[in-house]
Amino acid sequence: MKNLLLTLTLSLAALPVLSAHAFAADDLPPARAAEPDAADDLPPPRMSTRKPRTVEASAAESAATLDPTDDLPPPSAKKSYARGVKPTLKYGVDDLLLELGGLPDATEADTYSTLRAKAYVLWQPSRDWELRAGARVDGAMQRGGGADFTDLSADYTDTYVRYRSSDTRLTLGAQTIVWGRADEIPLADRVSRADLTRFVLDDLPDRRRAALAARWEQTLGDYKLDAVWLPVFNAAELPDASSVWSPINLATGEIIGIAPSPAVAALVKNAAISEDEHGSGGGAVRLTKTGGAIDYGLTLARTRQSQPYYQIGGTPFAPMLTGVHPFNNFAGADLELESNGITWRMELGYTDAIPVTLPTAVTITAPSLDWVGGMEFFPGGADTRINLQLVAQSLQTDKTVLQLTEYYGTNGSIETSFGQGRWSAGLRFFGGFNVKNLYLNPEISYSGWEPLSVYAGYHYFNGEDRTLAGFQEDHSMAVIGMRGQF
Amino acid sequence: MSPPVSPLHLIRVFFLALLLATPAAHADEASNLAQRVHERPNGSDLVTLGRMVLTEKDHAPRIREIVTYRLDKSNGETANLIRFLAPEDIAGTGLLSIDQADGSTDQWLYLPALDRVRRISSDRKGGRFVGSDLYFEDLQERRPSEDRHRLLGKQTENGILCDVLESVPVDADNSVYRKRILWVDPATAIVQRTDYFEKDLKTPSKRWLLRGKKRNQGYWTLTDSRVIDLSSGHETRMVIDSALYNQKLPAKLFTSQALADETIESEYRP
Repeated sequence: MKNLLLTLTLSLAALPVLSAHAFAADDLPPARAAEPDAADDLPPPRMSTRKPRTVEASAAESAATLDPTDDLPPPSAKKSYARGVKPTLKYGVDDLLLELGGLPDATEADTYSTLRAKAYVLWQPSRDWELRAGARVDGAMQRGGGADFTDLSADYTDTYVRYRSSDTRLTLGAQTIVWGRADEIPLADRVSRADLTRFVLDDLPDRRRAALAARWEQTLGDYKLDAVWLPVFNAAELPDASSVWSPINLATGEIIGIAPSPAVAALVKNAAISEDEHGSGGGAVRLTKTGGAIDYGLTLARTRQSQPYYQIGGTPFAPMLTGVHPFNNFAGADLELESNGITWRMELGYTDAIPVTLPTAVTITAPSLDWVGGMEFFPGGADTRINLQLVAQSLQTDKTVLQLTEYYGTNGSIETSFGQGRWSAGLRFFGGFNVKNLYLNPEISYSGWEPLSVYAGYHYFNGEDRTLAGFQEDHSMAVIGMRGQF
Repeated sequence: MSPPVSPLHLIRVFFLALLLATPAAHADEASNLAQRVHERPNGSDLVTLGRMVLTEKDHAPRIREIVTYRLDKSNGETANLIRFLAPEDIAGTGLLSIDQADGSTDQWLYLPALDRVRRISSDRKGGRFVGSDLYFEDLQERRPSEDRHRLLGKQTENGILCDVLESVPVDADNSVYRKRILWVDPATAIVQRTDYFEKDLKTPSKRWLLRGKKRNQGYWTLTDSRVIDLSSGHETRMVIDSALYNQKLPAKLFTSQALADETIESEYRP
């Protein structure tokens, strides 16, 4: 019995070792070879975003005096350690673009080159106040046809004074405010000023300019009320009249969105073109809720749209085309939710008075009902992003007009990156279902030379009359360029 | 009447029972270790200021400066806010993640160019975070119950005799990885190394290594670590230059308002 007990004791003593070996020894990975350690050549760290203060010094001191053998952390702080906003002065170039484009099919030009540079300075002396000033230089050069031109212009970018207190933020000055949820064509985008100098070649943020506005943003829990008043109306920035991206083609006598005809062409070619920019731009309010299962928004606006509607006037001997921007009322609702790896976005909008043109060249207005629905997802949960949107636009009129009264189509983008994010490839597109209206913009870019990236791409347009791509059908363009921010 | 049971037979049965019970005991031990790693004291909230260095052979390193905020809420939610400070092309971009108690995650992205908060899918587990070797999954909280754990033995790593822990997803669709092997310092429950297996169960595709740690306010902060893509040699080094625990971060910091207005969170930066 004594021997048996001894055997048992020995067996039990040996059990953990034996079982460990029998259990997993084969699964234990081989000891790794030492990884070559990267040289410690990092630049000095940004140890702090602010200068040390007394409170921080004492906190650091208490941490330093802790017994290093004590595994128990100290009790939580009783009050918040908000340190206040450090006065900051920031400046930089927030956009640089140099692009060379070749237009193989255009009669007006062989090349179109672009320079765009934006710089800013931002001063925040305290939490409450923020001042920003920004300026931009835009250059365009069109060569190789009958409509050569060179244009260099300067403009302001966001230049404002901002005051914030608790949940209130007030901003006065030139601002770029783009409302909405859908990509590229958000319906709630009613207070921004469009930049049409490069048609649709750029992403949405670069197709907008700062406009003079007074803005009140009030946060109420998960809700935000955003009210904007445009005391002075700012029309869209238009390209040079000779530019291939002009909404009026002086060579063919066509106006974008209007069915071409010999009568219209004769009128356009002889008309004096002007812009009506007087008065205020109106105002709008937007209520949004973010957080929880669904984000949503409601928008009410009485504003003038910055894109011109060309009204035909004058006399047969002295025709006039005037870019007008009539007030219209807009009511819209939008929502955004995520389900099964897909982000769904939707916008619905009603506009009461869209100006349209009768065959007699008389302008009337008609209400419009618009809808955009989109889905964004990452196939396989990896590095490719796909955003697909459906678009429906319906002008509520039974009269025959020169514009399209119904449009159903799609748009979106596909983007992917590779080479540890140094390379990216993408495709932006739109296409019509009920009319041919095709735009494709494949692009590949290399961003290995930060802060600059270089890219090559193509803008392909093909469509019927009265469509965007149809209007630019001869202006498909191959581009190479460089972008940067520093 | 049944025949009397001999003492030798009883001992054999007892010994056999012990042997049979051993895997279960080890599974418990492994789960306990995984739980200890998960529950390692990390403060009720944390602010870090750090850098992510993307290194690739024959290329200049790319550096991203990041400030992060984390708050563990009493209802089991964990909120995270990440803000990029540099380089300029992504500066101001913010990512807000709310890990719900039920395991789901809500995420919003703030894009300064559009001044817009966008809800994004948290399902992008295998996407590379700002072009680094970290996947979005690596940034998400992973609960021990989402994996089956097994102790493989002991091995020295960083000069410490570590417990080697294998973790395999209970639901294969729940992770980019087919398994992970962790080298855990049993004294502190700090992971010293992790090997990630994606396609091949025998050959790791990625390795995370701890380079340095430091005590801040009594908490261990992993101040320097790196992730190596074992096939390409790409490396992402993560350096935490400053960490502040238990700052009583307000819940307001983890809202779309703070995501869209850098000023609100900048009050709490180190």
